[in-house]
Amino acid sequence: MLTEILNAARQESAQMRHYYIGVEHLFIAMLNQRGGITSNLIQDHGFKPEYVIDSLRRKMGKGSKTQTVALGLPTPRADRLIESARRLATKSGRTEPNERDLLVSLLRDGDCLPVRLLKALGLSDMDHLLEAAQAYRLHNDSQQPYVSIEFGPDFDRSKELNNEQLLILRRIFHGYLSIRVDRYLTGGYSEATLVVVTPMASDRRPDAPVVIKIDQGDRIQDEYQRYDSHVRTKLPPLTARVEGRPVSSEMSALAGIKYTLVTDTDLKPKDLRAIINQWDGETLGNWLENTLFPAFGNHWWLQNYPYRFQVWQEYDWMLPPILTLELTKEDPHPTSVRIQVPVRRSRLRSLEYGDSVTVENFVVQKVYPARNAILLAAGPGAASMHARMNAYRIEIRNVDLHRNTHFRGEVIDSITGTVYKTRHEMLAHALSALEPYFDIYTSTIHIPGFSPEYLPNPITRYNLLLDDYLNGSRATIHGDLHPGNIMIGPKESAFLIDFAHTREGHTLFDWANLETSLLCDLFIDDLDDTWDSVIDILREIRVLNKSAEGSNGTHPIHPSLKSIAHIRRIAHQILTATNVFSGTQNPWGEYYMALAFCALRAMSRDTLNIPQRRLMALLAALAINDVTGHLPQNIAGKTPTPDGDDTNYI
Amino acid sequence: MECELTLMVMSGIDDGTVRYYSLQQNEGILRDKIWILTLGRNEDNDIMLRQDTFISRYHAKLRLNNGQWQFEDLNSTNGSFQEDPADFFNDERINGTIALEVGQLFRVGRTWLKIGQTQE
Repeated sequence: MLTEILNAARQESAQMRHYYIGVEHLFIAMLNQRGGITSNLIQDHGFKPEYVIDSLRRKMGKGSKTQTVALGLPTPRADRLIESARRLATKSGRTEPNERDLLVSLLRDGDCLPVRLLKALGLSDMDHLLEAAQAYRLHNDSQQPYVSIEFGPDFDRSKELNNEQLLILRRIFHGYLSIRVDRYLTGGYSEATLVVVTPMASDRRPDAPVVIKIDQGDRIQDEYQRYDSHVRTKLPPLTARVEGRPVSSEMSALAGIKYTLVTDTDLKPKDLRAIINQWDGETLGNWLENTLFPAFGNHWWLQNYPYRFQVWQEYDWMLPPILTLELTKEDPHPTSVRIQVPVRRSRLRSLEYGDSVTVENFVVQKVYPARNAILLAAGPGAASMHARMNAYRIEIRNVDLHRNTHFRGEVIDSITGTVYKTRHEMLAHALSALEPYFDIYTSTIHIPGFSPEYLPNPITRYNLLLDDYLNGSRATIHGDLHPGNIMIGPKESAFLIDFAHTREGHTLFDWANLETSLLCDLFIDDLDDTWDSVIDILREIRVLNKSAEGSNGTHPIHPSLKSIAHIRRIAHQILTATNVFSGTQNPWGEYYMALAFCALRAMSRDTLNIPQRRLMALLAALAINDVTGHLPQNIAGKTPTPDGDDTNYI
Repeated sequence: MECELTLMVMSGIDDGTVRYYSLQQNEGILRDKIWILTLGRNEDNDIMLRQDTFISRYHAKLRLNNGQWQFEDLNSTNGSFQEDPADFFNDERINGTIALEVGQLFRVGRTWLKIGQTQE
């Protein structure tokens, strides 16, 4: 047993280019023992072993490629750990220490990195963990907790839950006789599955319904950590709360988390999308402005910290990767372009397929084992705000993940590949998929009968906006506000769920994001397969813009847009709170900027149908046009970029 | 004044090593009642850390002033860091001099260290 673990630890050490065996490598080796005590114990405490392993690797960092000390000997701490495990083995009359002996010895060393990591992840009670390790009995995995699962009448049977998802549900409701899956909650950008579940007690009386979110294990863990640090203390008294630790399974990469809805009745929770068609625009808008906004406002959107930022810092992450590179077997071309933080986008404008590019000091955001690819982003080098760390994403294809270990949070000193695709190509592809009647490569789009007759082409113009400075506000934001995440509780109270993206960020982002997703939902029946139907709605949005700005009140607002008019009033409140209206600059530019990028993202979203995506493309064009009208000093005079010239796109 | 230091290596190839320094053994210098120790990769440092190539030749100074430890980064190439209490994965770079508590972790180059309790 000890030999196996030592060998695995040595392998881990070599992959991390460490060349010594530390307690960290031993711990990772133990976590990797299939069906072992360590991985089971960690799982029982709500963590996927892979998550703990990657966190540990991230904290250690990779060694340098040119390390000269190549010994593979245990560190003094690892020596002591093995010694202590040997003593435990001898005490129980065994000749060789087993995994438990090593784990117990490791948990007793409060100074070692694995224990400090476990504490940082929230497993603060080491005595308890130690006791559990000493007494742990491996349970038989073939005995899944049996909870019978039925489906309610509103459950969409065209999208069945798969076995892995069902296993997570059974684990979460372990101890119940049966559960009823009532329905899906849908929408948003994540690939997560959200369902409303009613557990049944043994007398078959239903308990209060809860919302279960099932997603990739690392995302669920991140959400749990984020909920603890950002959300828990900032919630109104009646609300949705995360209850218990995440639950995972060794059968798949999935994990689940439970939201309980703290209510005073046992009314079935409904999301906003489910009732959009039952409420008229005015009622919906009123509810958003006078119920949802005040419920979370004081702790969230009305924090109003003054925030001056460059647009890319909050919005670059929403765009497709700035580059997709391919690793090649041959040595990199000597004349490669280097990309470092701060990124100078103008340097990338002339890049074409096959050009060689070196990326330096970027951070791994995601690892895609199935596609053999990794996604990089600027990382903490671009300052600590969440959105900024995710800016300038670069996808690397053809990474040999069997030979090179990569993990989330890893800083890559240098990686060289050839250009496979640019951001502009991806956006152009998304726009041409909408079968436009206009030329997608020109700088303006002709819109017959519209005023103005020409709007900026979003895919050739957004790049100019990324370097603009905004004087806005930041606050705690939900990060993914859309009708599927907004719940209506008893007495029409407002609940929010899904805090996976909650962060400090640009305050208006939440509302611009809600506006774009509401628009797609509201006009789904008014849009047909003609561009004219899209332009008709755009005309109404133009009326709304004028009216919200207070510059034109003669046209009545389209009934469906009344809810959006209330969102604009919320935006107005946020803008007023930061006093921007007292200045000379028309403040609406800040909102249109957020709207432009939200619409641009929605344009390439394949869960929307073509007419909806067309609406988003033209909305982006209109928003960019209106930004230009409202930030004259920035756009017309153009703040010089670091390179002096950044007029091209990438 | 007791001029003794117990320094514990908390990561890397020497993880778990404990080193002792004292003025009595002519380690460091005493100037204006402040005990000063130099730390770096070069051999003439009081605290020599040779294994970590991310440590500068003359990386930092430790000072014991009236019972309080201080750490000064000497504009080292790869920096010195302390833990961010709010984020385990974000290490805060140390600029200039900071106060250091016994038991507090700090990092020079890639090596985590901490000052242990002095033996009575």
